[in-house]
Amino acid sequence: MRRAPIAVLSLVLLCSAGAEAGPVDSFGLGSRSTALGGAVSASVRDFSANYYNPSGLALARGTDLSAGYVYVAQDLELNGRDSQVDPVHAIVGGVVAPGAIFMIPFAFGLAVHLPDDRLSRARSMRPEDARWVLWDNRPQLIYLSTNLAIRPVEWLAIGGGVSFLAATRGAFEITGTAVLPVEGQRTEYDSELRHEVDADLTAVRYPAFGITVTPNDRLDFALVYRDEAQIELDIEAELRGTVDATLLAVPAHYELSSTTMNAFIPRQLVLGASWLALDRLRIGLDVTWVNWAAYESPISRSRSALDVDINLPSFELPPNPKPTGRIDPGFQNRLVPRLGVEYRLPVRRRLELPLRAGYVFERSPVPPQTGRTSFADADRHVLSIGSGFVWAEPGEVLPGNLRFDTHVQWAILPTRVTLKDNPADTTGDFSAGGHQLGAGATLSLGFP
Amino acid sequence: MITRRSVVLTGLVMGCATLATEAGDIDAVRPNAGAGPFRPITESELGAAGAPGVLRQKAAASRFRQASALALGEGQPGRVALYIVAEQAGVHGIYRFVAADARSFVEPDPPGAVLVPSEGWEGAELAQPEVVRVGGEIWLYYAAAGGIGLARSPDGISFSKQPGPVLAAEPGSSWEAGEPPRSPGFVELGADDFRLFYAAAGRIGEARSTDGVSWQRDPEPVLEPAPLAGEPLFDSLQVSDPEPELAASAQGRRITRVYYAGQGAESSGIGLAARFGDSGALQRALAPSLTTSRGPSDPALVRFGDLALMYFTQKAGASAAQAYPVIALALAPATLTLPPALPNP
Repeated sequence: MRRAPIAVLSLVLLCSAGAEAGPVDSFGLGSRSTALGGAVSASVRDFSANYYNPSGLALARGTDLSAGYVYVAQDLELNGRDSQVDPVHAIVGGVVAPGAIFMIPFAFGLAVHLPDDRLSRARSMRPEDARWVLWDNRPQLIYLSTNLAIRPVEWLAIGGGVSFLAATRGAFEITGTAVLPVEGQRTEYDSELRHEVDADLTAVRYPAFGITVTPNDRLDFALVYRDEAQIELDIEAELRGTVDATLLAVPAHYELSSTTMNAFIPRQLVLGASWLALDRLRIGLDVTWVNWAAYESPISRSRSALDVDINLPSFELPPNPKPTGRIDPGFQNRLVPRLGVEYRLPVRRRLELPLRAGYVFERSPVPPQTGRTSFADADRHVLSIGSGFVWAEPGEVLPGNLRFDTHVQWAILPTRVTLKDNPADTTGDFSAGGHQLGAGATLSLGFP
Repeated sequence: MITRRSVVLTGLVMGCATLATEAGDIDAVRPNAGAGPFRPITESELGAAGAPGVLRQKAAASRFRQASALALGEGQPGRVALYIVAEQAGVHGIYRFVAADARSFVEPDPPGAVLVPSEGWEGAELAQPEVVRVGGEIWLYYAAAGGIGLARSPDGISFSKQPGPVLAAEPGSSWEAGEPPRSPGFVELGADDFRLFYAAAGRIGEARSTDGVSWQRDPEPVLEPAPLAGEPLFDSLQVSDPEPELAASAQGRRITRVYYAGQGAESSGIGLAARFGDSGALQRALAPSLTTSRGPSDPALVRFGDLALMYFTQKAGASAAQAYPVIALALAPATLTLPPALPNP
């Protein structure tokens, strides 16, 4: 009777602390799990359990430290032209620290996907912009996740934690006098303007939970829930000052407010199974329900107002732009199947060579873009392979094991053609397709 | 006051944390970027004061208006001939101006008008020229009191008029209200398949011809003023001045585009309407292609590769003294910048 309160208390503590995810949805976490197509929710025991299934932490055999690197090149095209979608490259790593509390197996885990060139990426868009809406901002995020897991009975493990994403809220203000240049007399550099910038990088949290059920030595089942996260970009700008036109000083006031859904991590529910078909052959299958229908819109809501105190018939002010609102993108939920196969090839008495392969199919959640919006996307077939070595008891310094895993991931996005209903559409017909090629390696140290 | 150091530090933090480099010019991957929206050119692009007006010398007296453009050479942009309605030295007519950089127009070339009213059906003024190259000839459609006329030329300078209007008022038309058609806009869809878009009674109609002289009207207008619903639109009162062109979508679908002048209750602008294929009503774009506060009208389009130049007529300024018309220039994709203007000869 005392076990359940402990588990609940652990999870509450975690929620009040924090941990995190995002790009790992697309490109995986850790070379072993990525090579298996992410079909590891029922078999994961290393640091990547923080993402794939937190309860797997409680099934780890000992303390485990991992560090690695991943690089994904995005060769995505619109109408045959490179869309210049940035690559994703990040340091990955984590820890699994098992123990026991009141004789109950217990584990703490932490995982991180840390981009090595930027911490976050923000970009708003106009409705008429054709853009790879799922691939330019969403993978460019930090993923940090911390979790706790317990194993109250031999056949059951429960885990959960919190993931964090970065969100931006900012404002800038300009005050002073702007000089209109007069040839030979004054330049714009004579202006006296003061700038004030106030920006926050704040955390967005979302929880994840998972259970693993182990009915026998060859079968594992898993159920994982990852909650939704929305990252909004809020910008407030204000210009107050005077435009100095030599003979005339004109007070001016300009305000801009913009809110954009910069990235959206959909709610997910994963059902997974792992079968040890042979002593050295394991097959994993995951099916993930992804709640893309909850995506509000990547289009910014903005309003602006220009107020210039001047009353000259020859002076014209541009009209204030009309406020823009969100357009329901009509994204659709989808089921994502994942399949992974792993064979551990014995090389020597204490040395194994794991061979891995995986496949994922992600149907695009983006509906046909025949109307005003032009969100580029395509179905995605992801093939992955991986290998490495597992060296058991390499020496006195490391009595556990030394593991080195690599992976190559190739995502194929078959070209999807969009034919617009309106021949006067600002964007026009377009085709979208391409490839994503990723590779990575992870070095792990296992302690008994 | 915020210190420079704090601003720099805050900027660095903000830049490192959230503000990343843009992926690039979004218009570079927008298939229809060349169809608009258009941006008026700047003074640095014009190389002179008065932008986007391209022909401001003596504009008050000459009343330059209603241009039609003809590309004379390759380039980005290349040589352009503008056929403009004007009064020069007291002579009303259609004048030809040439600029090697598509914007530095100075004097008529030739000095005199290339076309003046001379026929009884024309009345006192010619208007709204539409110049096109058909085969080895230059055809010039124009509006006059009795309808739309045609003049042809081997060199674009010496024109011979077709006797009588090629498209006159049609009392039997259900929507033209007996008005003579105006604002001719010509497009050649294929061999011996010509279309003439025209304005009448605040709407735009279409006629078909195999020789450019004998025209058969379509019974219904192809574009009407925008329905009055919600907020007032720039073209809710009338549409006119059609400027058609043939285009193809990025997927190879044939599109007939028609730029037009729209007039609304509170604003005006240049709009774009289009259709797939060669027949049927036009569907308007969701937003105007060009808006200014000076009543833009009479669009004339010329293309140089991916660059589209649109000449249009608008008031010289906002004051009553600047109510005379000028020819102005805009470009698309709006993210492009014109190379430096060539010095005037």
